[in-house]
Amino acid sequence: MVALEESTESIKKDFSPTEAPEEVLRVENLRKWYPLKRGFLETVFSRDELNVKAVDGVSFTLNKGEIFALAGESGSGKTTLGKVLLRLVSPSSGSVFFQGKDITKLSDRELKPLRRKMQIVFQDPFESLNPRMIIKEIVAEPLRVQGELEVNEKGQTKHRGLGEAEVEERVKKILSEVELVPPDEFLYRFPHELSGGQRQRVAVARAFVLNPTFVVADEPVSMLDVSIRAEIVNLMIDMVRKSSASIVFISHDIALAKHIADRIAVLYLGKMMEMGGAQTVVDMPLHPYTQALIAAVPVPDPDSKRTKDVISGEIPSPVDPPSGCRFHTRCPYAHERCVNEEPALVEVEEKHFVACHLYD
Amino acid sequence: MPVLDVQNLVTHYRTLRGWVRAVENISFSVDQGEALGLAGESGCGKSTVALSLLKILPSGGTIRHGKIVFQGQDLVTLSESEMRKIRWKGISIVFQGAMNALNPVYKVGEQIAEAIKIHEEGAGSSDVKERVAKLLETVGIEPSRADNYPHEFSGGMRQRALIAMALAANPIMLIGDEPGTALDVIVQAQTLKLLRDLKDRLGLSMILISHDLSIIAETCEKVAIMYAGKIVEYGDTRSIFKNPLHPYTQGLIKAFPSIKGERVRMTSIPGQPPDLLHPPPACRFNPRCPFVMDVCKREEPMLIEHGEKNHLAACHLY
Repeated sequence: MVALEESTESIKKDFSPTEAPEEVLRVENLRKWYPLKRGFLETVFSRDELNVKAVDGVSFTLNKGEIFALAGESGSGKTTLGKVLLRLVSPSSGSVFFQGKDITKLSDRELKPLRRKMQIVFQDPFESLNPRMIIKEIVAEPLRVQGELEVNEKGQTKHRGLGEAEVEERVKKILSEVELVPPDEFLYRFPHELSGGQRQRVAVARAFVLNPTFVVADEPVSMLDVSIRAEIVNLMIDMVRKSSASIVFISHDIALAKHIADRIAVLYLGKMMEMGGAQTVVDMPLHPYTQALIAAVPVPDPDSKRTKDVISGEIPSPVDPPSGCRFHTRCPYAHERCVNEEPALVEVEEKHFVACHLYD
Repeated sequence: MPVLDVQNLVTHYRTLRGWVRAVENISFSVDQGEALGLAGESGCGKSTVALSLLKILPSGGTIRHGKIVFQGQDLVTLSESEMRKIRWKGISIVFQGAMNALNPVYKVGEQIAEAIKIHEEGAGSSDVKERVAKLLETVGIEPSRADNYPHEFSGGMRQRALIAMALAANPIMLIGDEPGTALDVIVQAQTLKLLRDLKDRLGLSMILISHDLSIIAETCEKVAIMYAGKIVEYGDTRSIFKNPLHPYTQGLIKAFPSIKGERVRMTSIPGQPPDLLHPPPACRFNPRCPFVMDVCKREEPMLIEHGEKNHLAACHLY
């Protein structure tokens, strides 16, 4: 009886809405500048250094069990940001706090035990799977590298290698979770024997086999055929719900982001322009750039004539981004202040952040 | 009379493992000033249709049957030298992948001029220059940019330059093979707006090939939905989008996330497109169809009108 009461208590605790969501990742003022390679004479005669400002001062937090979408055009810095979060590339400045530790300051050795908790699914399943490895080996590789963590009686975590039988069992389990069933049929096949959708399932299995805390999914469905995209997207949503992992979902398709993400952040030239609940951002976009992006999405309805005109121009070079607000060169509402002063990302409505002078 | 009337076209590729049945017995027509959308997933044969129309199939590809009647002339029977007079002047094409379609070592203006010179013998050089400037202006590029190299153009401008080039010999029909697919959504919207404007201004007939149904819904009056080398549904755009008949069309429309409305769990079509070396018998969609019946595996459904005028579907349900 006591035990029962205790268990209901703990459920309440977990799902109590008043409690602040558990933070998985905190990103503070993150920058990634890539220095531009130049010829010898150019280096001699010009003093200022040129940088591609791929990510330029981005801050946000990722909550437990959340799907957080990074949306933007190519060149907005979304992929670079994803790589910095995993420290596949080191940032130029700023911090990424993962479980209280700033991973940007850790050595490779200190990072290795954390790597098991941070995984990635790449865009192209035709490139991201080694063509010479069978599916079993592809999915087993993280297990072999990372082994298993065990807590002993003293409360210390210990690293343990996995036996062959255990590896196979774990691989089979995750393959059935990603619906590659029966798993025995897939274990000894090569990637080229699978369809695009099946390959992406293998990539998802590889990312989730270590029970990660967060996964970066970099355009995981844009290379797949339209009719099977939903399967992979739904699979990822289910994996998140089951394992309470978080996903940073990188996508150029803001319509897709709306349906699968809990929150959306819109990036433009390395800056975050708007961030908020997925439905809110898409249905009531505040930033003129978000509005333009959404207006440009074609609608599968021959009767819906576009209400707004498409904005002109293209995304400027990240080497020499416009002064002030980076969008002012294309913004229909730009005024003098936008040219001179950079707008800060401020909370305009509850949990809806915008970086635009129209709202401050 | 339609500008283009394709009747029972069959195009196959010869491979070591046998014939790949890329396009199997398809018919459609395009009227003057009309835009037809060819929609379908990758591998459904939509690009092969475009290449067949211009007879520029890669080696191994052959038109094995059917007629392509363009302005009263059957292109299938024409010789290569006669075909050269049709390409660019009659039918011209904008390929997908604007980034790679221009030659990087020639100026953009020179490349457009080349197309004019080849198709109009004896055109004077000042005359050609003027035409290039005018073409660039038509597609919304500052004529002075003719002296730039392709790498000095942005992705959207390169796509516009390719469209300008396709218009060089004043074609009657323009084929767009996934125009804008490699471009960002805003630039893609700009490109499609340009194509719509050109169609209205120049009275062009158009065939727009795309995997994206929404692009076709916004641009074309008529749609042909292709699956595994066949047209499964064909007709008036409005009628098809309002009331899709074929289960494949229904699934495809549902598979697109909509920017409007509530957040929903997306739906997909289970399974995958068939291997065109050995397509399934009878209705090629039967292994993936949620409404499959015995007859679907035995008899091939005909593409016939159901209910509304100008709305054809190939399905045993009706």
